Amino acid sequence: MTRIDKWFLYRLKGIYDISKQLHGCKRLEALPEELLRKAKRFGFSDFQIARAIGVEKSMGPQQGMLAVRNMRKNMGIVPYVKQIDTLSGEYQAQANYLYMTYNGSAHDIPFYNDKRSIIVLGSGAYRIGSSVEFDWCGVQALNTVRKEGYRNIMINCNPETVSTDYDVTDRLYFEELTFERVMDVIELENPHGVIVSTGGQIPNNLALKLNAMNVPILGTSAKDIDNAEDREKFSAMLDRIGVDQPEWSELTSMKDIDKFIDRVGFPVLVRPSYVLSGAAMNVCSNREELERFLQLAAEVSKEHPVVVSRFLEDAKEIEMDAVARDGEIIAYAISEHIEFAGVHSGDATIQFPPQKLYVETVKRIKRISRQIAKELNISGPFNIQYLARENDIKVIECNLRASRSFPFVSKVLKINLIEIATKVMLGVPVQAPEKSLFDIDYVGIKASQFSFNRLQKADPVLGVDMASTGEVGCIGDDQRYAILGSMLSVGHRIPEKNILLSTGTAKQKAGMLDAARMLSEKGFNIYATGGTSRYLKENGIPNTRVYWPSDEGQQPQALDMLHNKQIDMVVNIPKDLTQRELTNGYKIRRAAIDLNVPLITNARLASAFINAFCTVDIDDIPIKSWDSFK
Amino acid sequence: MRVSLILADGTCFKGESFGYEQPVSGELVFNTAMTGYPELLTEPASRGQLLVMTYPVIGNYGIQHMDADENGLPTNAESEHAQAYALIVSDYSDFYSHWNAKESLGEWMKREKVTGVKGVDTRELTKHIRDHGTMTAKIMFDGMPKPAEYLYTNMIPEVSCKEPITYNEGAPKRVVLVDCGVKAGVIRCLINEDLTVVRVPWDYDYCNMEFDGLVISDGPGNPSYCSDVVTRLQKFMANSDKPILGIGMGCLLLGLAGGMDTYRLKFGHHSHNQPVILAGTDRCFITMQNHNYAIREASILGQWKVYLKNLNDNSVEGIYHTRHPWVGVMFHSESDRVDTDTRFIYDDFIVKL
Repeated sequence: MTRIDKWFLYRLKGIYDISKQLHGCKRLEALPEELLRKAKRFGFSDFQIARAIGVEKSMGPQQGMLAVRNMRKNMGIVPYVKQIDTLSGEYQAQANYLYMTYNGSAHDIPFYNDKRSIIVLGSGAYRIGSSVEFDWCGVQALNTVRKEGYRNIMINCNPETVSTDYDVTDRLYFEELTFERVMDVIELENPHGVIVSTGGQIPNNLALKLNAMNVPILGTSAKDIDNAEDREKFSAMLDRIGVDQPEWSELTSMKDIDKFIDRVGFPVLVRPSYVLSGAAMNVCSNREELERFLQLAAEVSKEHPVVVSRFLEDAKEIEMDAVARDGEIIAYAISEHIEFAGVHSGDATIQFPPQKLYVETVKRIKRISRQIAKELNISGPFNIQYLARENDIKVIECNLRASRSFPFVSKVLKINLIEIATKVMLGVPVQAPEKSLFDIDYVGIKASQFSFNRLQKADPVLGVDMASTGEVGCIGDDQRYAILGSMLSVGHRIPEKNILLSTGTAKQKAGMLDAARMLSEKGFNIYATGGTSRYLKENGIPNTRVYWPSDEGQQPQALDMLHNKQIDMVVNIPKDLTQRELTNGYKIRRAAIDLNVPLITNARLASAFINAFCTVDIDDIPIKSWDSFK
Repeated sequence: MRVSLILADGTCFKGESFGYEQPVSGELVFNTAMTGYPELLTEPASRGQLLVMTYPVIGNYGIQHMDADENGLPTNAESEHAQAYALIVSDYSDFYSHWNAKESLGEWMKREKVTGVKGVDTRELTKHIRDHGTMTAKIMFDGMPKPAEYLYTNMIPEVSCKEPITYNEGAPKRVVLVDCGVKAGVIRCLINEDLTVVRVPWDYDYCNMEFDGLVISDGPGNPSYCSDVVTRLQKFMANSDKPILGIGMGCLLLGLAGGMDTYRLKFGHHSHNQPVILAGTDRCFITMQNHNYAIREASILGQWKVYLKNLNDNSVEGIYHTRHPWVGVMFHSESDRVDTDTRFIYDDFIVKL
């Protein structure tokens, strides 16, 4: 029926049967050694065994898992390290690719126990929110470790990363980044230290658990990592040092939430602690959305509380990527989102150095960052996200690890922040770089690549959930050159003639006015939907009105024009979340994606892009090498 | 049932039984083929072996019908019965799935009296054999007496036919096949080339028979135990210019008859992917092999030349005579299931008949 060969089904049944036997043991002491060994050979994790037996409930997930772990170690049930070998052992394998198995009785490799190795934890499977940027960070860390005379060891289950190339590491464990497996490797390798801060959120999350096992974590201490990751502790710390943050509250009951919202009003941002890429994070602008989302969030993370915070509109989002040593910043890069806050930093268009920040804003950000670094006693890479309205600055969050933008700012600044961070973590002397972002007279812009055309029926609008699947960073002599380079690189085209505008709320319409005027003066034909058309006319910008899909029978219809290839670019900015607006906007946006018409859904980005192509001719963009930017 | 595999040097591996429950001793050999366990177990050259499969999942396609085809040759097997003494695997699949399977490997092994050991770290075992060479070993069952020590003897009489058998009578050309433990595949291949095949016992005197060419088959054990075959071959070669093709053991015997020496390889060639190169050219073939002995290159003198060499260890994989149509190869090119790249070995032989 499924066309799956029965052999595979029986193998699956074999696994299920073991699970049933495990469930039959109600106490750890009742678990026979043979069954435990078999379960491990069949791939059951200590955690799964703990859960099946019921000790997860009685002892807690971590303690339950540790109980199983200790029990099996006492019985001598430990995994063996084998080489991935295409010669099935017939000849001595040189392969540096290692895996662990319980179906073995000896290791393929020797262990030195000389404390001259460093384990770097990788980023795991590529997915939205964690991919090649963390791989770059991992590789830079590995290279630095090797340069400093240590053997470098990588644990990463992702064969497509550079960090898993055969010559990047002395030893590569193709293994999952779980506590159990990472501990298995650490116990065998007995390294000088473990770096958890260059592989993104997954290794970062292991910090506390590894620390509890007395694993030497290099750089910022696990306790301080937890102080930054745990929203309540972090928030309390900010209050203590007098740093502002958006108002927030930890969710305990619906009543408390209502009280909180009565005070701050919608929209609010809801998220659990310990998240990356905005998973399980959402902006809710009404009660119905809030309730629906809270149910979901509670399911996503039981271990950590859900936090509701006030969502600031029309605020700039600013990133601080930096390296500190013993709480003192030695290198940093401040970059600015082109979009207003609300677009996930992984999706946002980021420019570095910032082009439109007040000197005062930068000063304050530096000061606050210094305070936080000191308070958390940071040694290694970290990233802080800020909101800025005028010179009013609030901290959104702080991660004591390399962030997604480390490779980008390192390459634009031409200072390898990870190399510096790794040296700090290894405790070798490092000079603070003399160059700073104020010395740079070019601009780097990172634009995001989306794959909405492959995601059928997905609404191509950006929010706090990350959606981009890639990014391109381009350097230009000024913002216009850089944005053209990066936008064209991620698949946008410079429109030839006809542009469809539908520019959202009154405020956004006003924000787009200059860009619309520029288009008109450049001789583009502007087509606009109802409100936008009226607004443009009132401001003396000629345009042709087109109708929404819901304005049935009225001509011309926006969708028809798209289908007839009469539109070269669509700027569609969602106004609010009413059903009518969403449906209309969705149809236009989706049609643009399906018909491969460039689409921009953010007023700030649209303005910047329009400004660039209206003032710079594409033929005037010089092709320059990275080296030529000094 | 728990079993122990104890090597001649004292190394011990633990496992569980899945075949015939009887202590046994034999020669420990590893094979890196991923499939083909029914053929390997029934191949006469595997006689006396405790066969270690380096591929971890064994038994997944069971055992297919082993009947007799229209020529009386066994189907889906290389001989009528199991020849290896034991099979040692990492993960044995008792449940099998194959359209043509009849029974599980374990059931068949119980009937054919082949001991099975599963749950062994076959990678470690393979590395041990690789580093220390092929050696004898015992498989012991808890609570059962020790098996007798394995002795290297001439096993060819055990696997050779007892009486001459003629296949495909009436074909234009006639070959005599000296059965030192021939694989059914070799006979099938010769029949498919429309030859009459007279399969004779290993010690049979074929010198006065009427035929066009001589094939000396593969077989188990040490070639130096078969001086009878070598002497007869020398007698035949002294008086005849008929084409001779030696395969595997047959190649070694041909070499001995031509005055060469043989020696024991450290851990033999047992796999589906042995690379050999045609001497003096850049032509390379991937071949299927199952042998423990080789011809010493330094002993190939006079009109005998090296035909093919192994690219892994540089050992001789084939010899030929510059004056007479006599050729020997160490690999199997008859299987229509592996590849046809080296089928020219047969074609060249047949052309000269």
